[in-house]
Amino acid sequence: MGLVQPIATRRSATGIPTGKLAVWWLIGSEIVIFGGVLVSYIILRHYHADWTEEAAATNVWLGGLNTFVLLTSSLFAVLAHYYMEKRNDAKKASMYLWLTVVGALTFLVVKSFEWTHEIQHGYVMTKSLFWGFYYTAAGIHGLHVIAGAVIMGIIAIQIRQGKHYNRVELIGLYWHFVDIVWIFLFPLLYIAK
Amino acid sequence: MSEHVDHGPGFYVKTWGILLVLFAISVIGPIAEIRWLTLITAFGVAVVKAYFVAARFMHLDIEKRYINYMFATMLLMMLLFWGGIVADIGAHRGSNWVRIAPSQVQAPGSLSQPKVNAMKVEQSDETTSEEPTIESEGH
Repeated sequence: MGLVQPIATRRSATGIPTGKLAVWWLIGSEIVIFGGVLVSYIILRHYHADWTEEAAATNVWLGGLNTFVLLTSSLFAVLAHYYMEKRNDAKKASMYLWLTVVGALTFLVVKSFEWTHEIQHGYVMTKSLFWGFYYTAAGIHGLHVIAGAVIMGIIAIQIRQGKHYNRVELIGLYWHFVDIVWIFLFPLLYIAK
Repeated sequence: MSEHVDHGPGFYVKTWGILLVLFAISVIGPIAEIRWLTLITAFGVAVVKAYFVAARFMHLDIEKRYINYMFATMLLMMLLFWGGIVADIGAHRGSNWVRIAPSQVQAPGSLSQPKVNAMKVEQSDETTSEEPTIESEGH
C-alpha cells in the first residue's frame, strides 16, 4: 500500500495558504535586504554633497523608461492573476505572464545598454562609493528581475498544462515587490541630482 | 488564492494610469531643476506609488492584518538600523581616526598621503598606536 502524504495547503495559525504565506515572508526578508542598502545609501548621500556630481552621470531617461516598463509589467502580472482566479482562463493568464516576461527582458536589455555606456565612460563600481552603491543596488535588483522572469516563464508553462494555478498569484506578489523596489531606486539613483 | 478580489481589469488599468501620472510628476522636479521640488515630487511620489502597487496590485488592503504587521516590523528594523549607524556616519572624527573631506584628498588613488597629513588628530588616552588611522570615504 502506498504512503499518501497530506499536503499542507493552509496554515492554521494565520489562515493564509502555505505558498502565499511563504512568499509574504520572502518579501518581508527582502524588505530588510533592500532596506539596509537603501538606508545606508540615504545616510551616506546626506553627508556627501559631492555625490550630486556623480549622480549627474546617470541617465534619467533610461531609468524612466525602465520605470514605465516595470509599472506596465506589474499591470500584466495582476491581469494574469485576475484571469486565472476570476475567469479560470489559463490561456489568457499564461499570455499575460509571458507579456510580463517580455517586460522583464526589456528592462534587462535597457539596463545592459545603460551599464555598457557608463562602464565605457569610466563609471565603474570602484570609481567611488556612489557608483559602488549604484551597481550594488541596481545589480541585486537586476538579479531579482532575472529570477522573476525565469520563474514566471515556468509558471506560464505549468498553468497551460493544467497545473499549479495558485502560483500565478504568488509570482505576481513577488513581481509587484520587485516593482516597488525600483520605484524607490529610481528617485534615489537617477532623480536626486 | 485570495478570495476577496472583486476588481475587474478596468480597475487595474485605471490604477496603472494613476501610477503613470505619478511617475510623470516625479520627474517634474529634475526638469525644473528645483531641489526642494525634486525631493517632494520624487520621494513623496515614490511612497504614494509604492502604496498604490501594494494596496491595489498586491491586494494588501484586503490581506489579513498579520501580513501588514509583519511588514511594519520589517520597516521598524530598517528604522532601528538607521538609528544605530547614523551617529557614527555623521561624525567626522573619533578615537584615533578622522574622516577626510573629499576636497582635501590630493588625487584619486593617493589616499596614503592626503593634504591633511598636517592635521592634528587629538588622540585619546585609549590610543596605543603611534600613527593615527585616517579613513577616507572616497570621492
